Amino acid sequence: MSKHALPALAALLALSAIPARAADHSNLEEGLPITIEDAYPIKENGLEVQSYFQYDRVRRDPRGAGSLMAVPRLEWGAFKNFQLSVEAPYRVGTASDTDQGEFRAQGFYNFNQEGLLLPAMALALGVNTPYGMRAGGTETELKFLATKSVGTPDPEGLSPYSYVPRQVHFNASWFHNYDPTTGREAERRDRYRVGVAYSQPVSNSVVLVADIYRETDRERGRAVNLAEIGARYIVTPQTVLVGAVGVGFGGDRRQDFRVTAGLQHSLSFPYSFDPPR
Amino acid sequence: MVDFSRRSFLAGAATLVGGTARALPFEQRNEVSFLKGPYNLAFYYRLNKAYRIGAGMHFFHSKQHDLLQLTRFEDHAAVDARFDKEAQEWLRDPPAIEPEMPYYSSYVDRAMHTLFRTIDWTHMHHEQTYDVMAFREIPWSEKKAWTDRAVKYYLTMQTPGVPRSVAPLEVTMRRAGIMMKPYFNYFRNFYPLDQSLFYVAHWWHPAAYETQMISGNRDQEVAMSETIDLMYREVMPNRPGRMLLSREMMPRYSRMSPESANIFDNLHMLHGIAYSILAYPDWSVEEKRAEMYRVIEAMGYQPGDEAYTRRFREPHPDFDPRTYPAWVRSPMGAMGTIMMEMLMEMLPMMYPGGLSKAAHAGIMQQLMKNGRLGIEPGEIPGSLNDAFMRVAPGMRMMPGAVEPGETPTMMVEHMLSAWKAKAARIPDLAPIDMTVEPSLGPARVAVR
Repeated sequence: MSKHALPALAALLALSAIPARAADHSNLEEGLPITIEDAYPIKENGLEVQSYFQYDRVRRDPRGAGSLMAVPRLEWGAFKNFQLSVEAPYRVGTASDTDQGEFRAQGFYNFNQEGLLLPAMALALGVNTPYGMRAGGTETELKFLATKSVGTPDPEGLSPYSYVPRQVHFNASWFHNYDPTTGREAERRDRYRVGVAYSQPVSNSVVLVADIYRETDRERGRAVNLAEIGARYIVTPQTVLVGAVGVGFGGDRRQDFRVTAGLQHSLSFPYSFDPPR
Repeated sequence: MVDFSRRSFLAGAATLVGGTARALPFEQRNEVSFLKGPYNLAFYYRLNKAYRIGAGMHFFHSKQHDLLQLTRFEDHAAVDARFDKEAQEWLRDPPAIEPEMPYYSSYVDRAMHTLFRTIDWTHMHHEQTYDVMAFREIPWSEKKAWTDRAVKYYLTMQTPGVPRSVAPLEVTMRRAGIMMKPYFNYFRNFYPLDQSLFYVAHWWHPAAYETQMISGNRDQEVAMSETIDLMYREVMPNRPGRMLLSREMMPRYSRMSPESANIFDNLHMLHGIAYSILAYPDWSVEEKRAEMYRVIEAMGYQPGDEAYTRRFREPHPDFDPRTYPAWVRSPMGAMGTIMMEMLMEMLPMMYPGGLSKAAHAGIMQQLMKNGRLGIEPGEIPGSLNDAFMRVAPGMRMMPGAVEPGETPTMMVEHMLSAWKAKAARIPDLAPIDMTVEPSLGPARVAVR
């Protein structure tokens, strides 16, 4: 398969998505368009195609500075409060981690609906298997997620958006590499990602999202330190478009900036019914 | 002394744990997606203006929850007037996408999520059934089979208690037993402008279904534009005075799918009850939650409800939804009849010694006034219970009649038994013949 085949496949998936319904622009997904997500899975029986493209401007990389990742993802509400997702991101460009990708599978379970005091909490467990040039070892990811609303600044309800959910999200992931590479580009055996996000509807169709997080890189001595801001825009009842920009911070940051664009789309199939005639 | 302290400590700890448990109710989200089918989004794409009107209604439907819970009851007149204006603006320039309930009412979502799960799950059923009717590729003769499929999904996929009942309001209102609760009709009486805009919404939904029913697969665009025009031109400026029932507004659709018709009536009634509970100022949010969940359960689908699905009469079987006759605007209709029948069943238990003619007349007068929008001259403001106590003192209060989260079991059983005796004499509503696809004619006023 040529090195551009997978991104092309992702683009095709994105463009050919068939009309369905009820993609939810207030339910955050990793990478769509920011990295930190909320503690809620998609609904039982829901089936979504998600896809995004992410450009990173990498710093201090002897091979090059550009990395473009395409992520096709399929997500299924397998049962109540539980979703399964599979995805196959692939990176192209000049940076050192390009011409490689991963297969990822993840189960995500939400324990509770947020209450007046109790935050919503969820746990996710995933497996990442890299492939391609200089691919690293297989990792597992154990992730804790929480979502908590903050109160309204306008209890009198003077604006249409007085009572919309203003939510803070917390994610903490532990990655464990079962077969880290050694040598000049040695990988960490254990690493982490921790971050917080904020989301708030700003119109009937747009939810504003922002996050800040730190993720230690597979490669020792480097980390992803990013602050992102973006929006989720519901175009039809079944389609959400997303976009975000991010800037790196900190001396060990891997990238100077990031741009993300993508979509998620609920499917109307498969179904079966043969009406009595 | 030590023993006393230990006991005090344990009692204190138990209170703390109990209080924390009440403040931190652990509830699962349990959301279920829509039923997949080739018809998904047909209503959105084909009858987009009608879809958007529904979306506008769901904006003010959603926001009303937090507005009632978070604003002071003493400000009800100002809140009512202000929100009516805002809601009308959204109805005249409706949004492109229908919001779910938590979108504009985050507080109530967190305080009593099952209320919103119940509402949004039933809205999903609304969308499914609109889509089935709007989708041209489903032949007219197969509309019922696809609708029945959606009903089955609606009743079976969610957790028990969440789907609304397929039994008519005569059954579910008796099961709820709310007439003597202190919040009864608070929303109708203290927020009359907002309530009357919901009467427009209760007019709109069945009017849209019935518009599809009289149009066949071909003419829905033309007919729907006439119904939309009617809403802006006549219904909004001169709003209905009551909650209209499916049997009144969509007689043909009710004959095709009485299950869906009853589900929608039961949902619309739940809206009014939920708003009254939220508007009531003398209960804590935990007490409101307890009462809300009790009512949701009582009015939800229960095995055996199917036996009563077609057990109601249609007062205007030839109604054309593109018209707005006086009986649609009137404050008295099928819902008022149900309430009156329930009161007649309750009175002998509430006043076992009987009532004087004057007291009986006073009770009837207060019932009528309480059932209409706002506070009328001579009406005793507050709950029906307060009014009855004033005009006919000595009422015997049933256990569970007024407390949050409690059911007046004796009264409920008595009313249900009385209704079942009456229902035995009501013939099942006849199914409609769907083998002949209708074609649109000029609008005709059903005066009967």
